[in-house]
Amino acid sequence: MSMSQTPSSNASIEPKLKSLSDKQVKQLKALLFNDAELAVLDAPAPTIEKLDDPELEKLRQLLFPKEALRQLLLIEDYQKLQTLLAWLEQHQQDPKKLAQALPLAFEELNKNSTRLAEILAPQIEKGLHRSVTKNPQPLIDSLFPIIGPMIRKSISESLSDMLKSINQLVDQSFSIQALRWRIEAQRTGKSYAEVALLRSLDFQVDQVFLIHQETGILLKHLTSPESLHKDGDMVSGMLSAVQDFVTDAFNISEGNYLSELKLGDFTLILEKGPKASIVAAILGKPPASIRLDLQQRLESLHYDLHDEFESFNGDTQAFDSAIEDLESLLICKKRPRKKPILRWIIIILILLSLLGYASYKTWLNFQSQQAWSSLITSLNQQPGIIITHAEKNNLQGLADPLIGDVKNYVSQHKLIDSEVLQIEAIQWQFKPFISLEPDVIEKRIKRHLKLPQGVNYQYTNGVLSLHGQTTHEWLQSNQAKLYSIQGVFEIEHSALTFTDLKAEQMRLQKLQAQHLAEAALQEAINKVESFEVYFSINKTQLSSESKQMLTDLKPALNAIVQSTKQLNQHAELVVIANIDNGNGTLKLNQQLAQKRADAVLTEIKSLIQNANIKFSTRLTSTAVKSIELNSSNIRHVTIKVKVAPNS
Amino acid sequence: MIQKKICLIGAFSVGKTSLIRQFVESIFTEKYLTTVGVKIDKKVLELEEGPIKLMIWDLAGEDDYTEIRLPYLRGASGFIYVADGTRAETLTKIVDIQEHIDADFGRLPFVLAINKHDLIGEWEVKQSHIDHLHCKSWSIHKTSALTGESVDQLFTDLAQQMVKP
Ligand SMILES: Nc1nc2c(ncn2[C@@H]2O[C@H](COP(=O)(O)OP(=O)(O)OP(=O)(O)O)[C@@H](O)[C@H]2O)c(=O)[nH]1
Ligand SMILES: [Mg+2]
Repeated sequence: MSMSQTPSSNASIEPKLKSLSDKQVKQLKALLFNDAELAVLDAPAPTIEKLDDPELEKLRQLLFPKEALRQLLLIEDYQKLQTLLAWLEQHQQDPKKLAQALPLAFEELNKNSTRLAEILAPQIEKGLHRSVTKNPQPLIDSLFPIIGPMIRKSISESLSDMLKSINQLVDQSFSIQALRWRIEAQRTGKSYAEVALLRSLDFQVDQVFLIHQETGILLKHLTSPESLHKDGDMVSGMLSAVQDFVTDAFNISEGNYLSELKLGDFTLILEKGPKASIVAAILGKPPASIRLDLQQRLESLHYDLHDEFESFNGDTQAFDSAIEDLESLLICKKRPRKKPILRWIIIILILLSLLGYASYKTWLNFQSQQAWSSLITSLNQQPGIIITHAEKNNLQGLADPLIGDVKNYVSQHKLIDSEVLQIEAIQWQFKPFISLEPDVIEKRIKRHLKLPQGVNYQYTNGVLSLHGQTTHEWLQSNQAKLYSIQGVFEIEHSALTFTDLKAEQMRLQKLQAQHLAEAALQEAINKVESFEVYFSINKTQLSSESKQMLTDLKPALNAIVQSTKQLNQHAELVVIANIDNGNGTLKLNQQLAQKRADAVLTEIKSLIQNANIKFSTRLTSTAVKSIELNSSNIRHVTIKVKVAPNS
Repeated sequence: MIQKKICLIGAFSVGKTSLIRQFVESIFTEKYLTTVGVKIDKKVLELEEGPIKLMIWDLAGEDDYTEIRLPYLRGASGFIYVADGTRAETLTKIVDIQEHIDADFGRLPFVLAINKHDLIGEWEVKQSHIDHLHCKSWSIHKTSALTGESVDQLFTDLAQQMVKP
C-alpha cells in the first residue's frame, strides 16, 4: 500500500465522513461488515496507541469506539474504506444521471434494434409473475377496464358467429321444423337443444327495463311469459353500473353511451334519455328497427312522465302508467322468425312439388288404367284365354292347359306394360278349360302329333289332312291317337303315299279293281242287252211301259259309263230295230223301224249325261214264223253294247 | 315502494362486501375476495314509515378519493362509510373521503361503520378519534360482519335518515 496517496485522499474524505449522520454510519457499517465482524467491533477495546496520521485517527475514533481491531483493520482497510466511500458517492449521483440518460438510451435502442425488448422480456415476465403471486390486486385493478370489454367482445363475436353459421344452415334447409333442427344438430355437431334454442328465436324481446337514469333504480320491469325472470332490480343496477363504468373508464364524451351489450344468448339494447333509459333484453339477433321503437317509446315516456321524473324520490309507483307502453314494446316485437320471402319460396316450392307429384300420380294412374285395359283386351284376344272377371289387380278367367301359367304367358308374350303395371301385384285366378279355337287346336296337334319325316299336315275346320310319304303301318297305329286330339273330327289321308306296300301288291290290287270293274261292266252290258221293246203295227212311239223299262236301265247305263272310264275303255251303244217284213211294204217298214230305233236312242240319250259314249242305230230283218206275223215281237228294238279300249 | 340507492365506500379489505352479505344473506366467510368494479345488492327494510327497497352498491375498496369512480356515486341517496378498526389509517382516509364527497355531491345522509369489532384485541382506532367524529354529529356504528353486531342497525339508521322528510 502506498502511503503517498493517502493524505490527499484523506483530505477530501474527512469532511464527508464528518457530515455523515448516525444513520448513514450505521448503514455504512452494515455494508462493510458481517454480523460476526460487527460483534467484534462492538466489543470493549483494548488500549492502543493513537495513530500517527491525525486524519486516520479521527476516522478511527469516529468509526470504532472500541479499539480492539483498529490496528488490524485500519492500515489495510483504510484503502478499502476509501474506495467504498467513493463508490457510495458515485452511486448517489449515478441514478440521477442515469435517469436522464435512460429515455435517450431507450429511444436510441428502439430506433435500430429489438435487443432491448429481448433483454427486458424475461425480466418483465418474471416481474409480472412475482407481482401476481405476491398480490394480484394491483394487476387486476389495472387490467379490469380492459378485460371486461375484451371478454364481452369475444363473447358477442363468437355468439354472432354461431348465429350466423346456424342461420346459413337453416336458410339452406327447409322441411318440418323439428326435423330440420335434428338434421342440423347432427350436421353441426351441436346439441339438438342448442340448435332448437337458437333457431326458435330469431329474436324475442324477453324483458324490458325502464331504468331511472341517475340512480339506476328500476322503475318498471316487464317480462315476457316465457322469460326466466332474472331479478330485474339487480340487472338494472348492474346495467347502470356498467354504463357508468364504461363512460368513465374510456372517457366517453357526453351524449355517447353503451348502447348494446351481448351476454350469452341475450343482447341488451340500451336507449338512453335524460331522465331514464329503456333496455330491451332480446333473445337471438335483434333487428335494426328495434332501436327506433325503443327511442320513440322513450321519448313519449319522457313527455308523458316529465313531472314524475322531476319529483322522483324512489317511489316507482308513479310510473305505473308506463306499463302499457312498455308492454306493447314487449309483445309487438315478437315477430315471426322466418324471412318472409324465403318462407314464401319454400311454400311455393312445396306447393309446386305437391302439384307436380299430384299430376304425376294422376298421369301414373291414367297410365296404369290404360295399361290395365290394354292388358285385358290383349288377354281376351289370346286364343285359349277367356277373362271372366277383371278388377283392379285381380284377374279371373279360363285358360287352356296349353297356355300354361297365365302370368308366365303374359310376361313371355309381353302383354303387360311392366313399366306401369307390376305383374307380381296382380292376382291371377284362372281355371283350366279345353279351347276349340283353331289356333289352340293346331297348338294341341303340334303338341300331340309326332309326325314322321316327310309327312305334313293341314288343319281346316275340324279336318286334319295329311300328305307326304310314310308307312301304312304308321297310319294304322296312329289313327286312333289322331282322333283323340280334341278338335280333330276327321282325318284325310288320301294324299299320303305309303312306302311299305309292295309294288306287286299294288298291281294286284289294281288288277283286282280292274276285274271288279270288268265284271260290273259285263253285268251292266248284260242288263242293257237284255232289253227288248215291242211296237204295235204302224206305231213308232214308245209306250209308257216301254219308257219305264228304259228308265230302269239308268243305273246299268251309268255303270257302263263309270266302268269303261275306270278301265280306260270306251263303249258304243247300238240300238237295233227289226224291220216288220210280214205286213206292208218293205220301204214303209224300214222307215218305221228307223223311227222306232231313233225313239229309243233319244230316250237313252236323255238318261245318260256327259257320257263319253258313242251311239248308233241299225236295222235288222229277221225271218219270222207266220204265227208270229201279227205278234208285236216282230216289231222289236234291242240294244247292243260294244266295248273297246281307248286308243 | 320507495327505492333508494346507497353506496358503501371504504379502503380495501375493510369488510364492505362482508357487511352487505351479513345484512342481506346473513352469511359470513373468512375468505377474502376483493370486489372488482361494483356489485349491486338489494334488500327491503320495513320501517315505521313503510317499506323501503335499498339498492346497495358495493364499490371496490379505494384508499383515496381520487381513485373512487365517481359516476357510481351518482344518484345515491345515502352513503355508508366503512373503516377497519384494526387499521387506524382506514379511518383517517375515510374521513378525508367523506369531506370530498360532501363537497361534490352535497350533503346526503351517511353513516360510519368501524368494522371488525370482534377483533377488539387488535383494535387500532383510538376512542378519542371516534369521540371527535361524534362531536361532528356523525352517526357511528362499531360493527362486525362476522358476528353480525350492529349490522342491521347500521343499514336501518341510514334508511331512516333517508326517508326522513
Ligand atoms: N374478523 C373479521 N373479519 C372481517 C370482518 N369483515 C370482513 N372481514 C374479513 O376481511 C376480509 C375482507 O373483507 P371484504 O368484505 O371482502 O372487504 P371489502 O371491503 O369488501 O374489500 P374490497 O372489496 O377489496 O374493497 C375478508 O377476509 C373478511 O373475512 C369482520 O367484521 N370481522
Ligand atoms: Mg368488497
